[in-house]
Amino acid sequence: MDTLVAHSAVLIIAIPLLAAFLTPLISRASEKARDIFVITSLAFVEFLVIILAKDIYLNGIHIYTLGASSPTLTIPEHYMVPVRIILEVDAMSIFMGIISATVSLAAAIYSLSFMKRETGGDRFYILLLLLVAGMLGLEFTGDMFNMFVFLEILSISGAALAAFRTRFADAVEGGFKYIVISAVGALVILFAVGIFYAPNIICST
Amino acid sequence: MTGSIFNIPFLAVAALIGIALYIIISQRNLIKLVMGITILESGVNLFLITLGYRAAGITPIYTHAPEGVMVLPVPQALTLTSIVIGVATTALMLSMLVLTYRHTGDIDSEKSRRMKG
Repeated sequence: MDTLVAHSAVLIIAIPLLAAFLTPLISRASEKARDIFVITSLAFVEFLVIILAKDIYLNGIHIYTLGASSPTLTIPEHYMVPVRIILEVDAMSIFMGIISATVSLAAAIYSLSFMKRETGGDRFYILLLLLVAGMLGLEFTGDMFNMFVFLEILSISGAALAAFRTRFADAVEGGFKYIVISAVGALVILFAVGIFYAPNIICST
Repeated sequence: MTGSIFNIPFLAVAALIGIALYIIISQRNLIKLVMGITILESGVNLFLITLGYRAAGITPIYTHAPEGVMVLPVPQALTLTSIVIGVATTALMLSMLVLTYRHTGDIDSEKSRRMKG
């Protein structure tokens, strides 16, 4: 249980991402298995978010370093600068994380009956799980680089979901407007990340 | 080098972003809108690459590194990620344009719209 809490920050992002790419394989077996798999993954994410919230409530901000020998080791052993991907989960992040995980679990349960009337259910669940991975990653990330990456995952899968029912002209038009606005916005954010980063480059030389 | 006002790449960045924003605001053909977003992406990528440039810097690979100042690899990594994401965004926008053309028979933003308001 302690190991699960220590690694829960990265598991919350990794489980929907892996489940998104396993979903088409499992749906080759049967659609029932696919539905159970999607709901189980999202319910496990919800469980991890709740135990992480309890840990943050008791012990304060939770920091996870990817690729380190210990998850709390933010500065590498032999280098002077922290050149690592770091997840920082504070109380605000986990508050939004609880909302995201709960709403996405509820949306997936609702989609079970809704998608019976539609075709292309595999692709719908892939996009839904990618949306959840991008949303939770955007909330839990600790640096601007990964914030941009997760923002783009979120906006691409969100726009594809908005235009999912492509037989309606309205859905496609709304999806196109969404992707244009979010692409321009994400590029402006990337420009801002560059401006934000420029003093560090000059100071470190 | 860093104190010089005449940094030509930054002027190119300003020109690219200005042209792109003008295209995105003024053009009614949706293919041209997608082209404008691609130009904006090129401008931002050029900005990041220009930020990471250092005269006579060596590549940041630690095995058998020659003596000298290393460049920071983060702007290059950010630009590479941005290029890959830009391809995905452009592909999604063009596929939605194909569907819009099939539904409405036009890619002019005034003639192909169905939503009011």
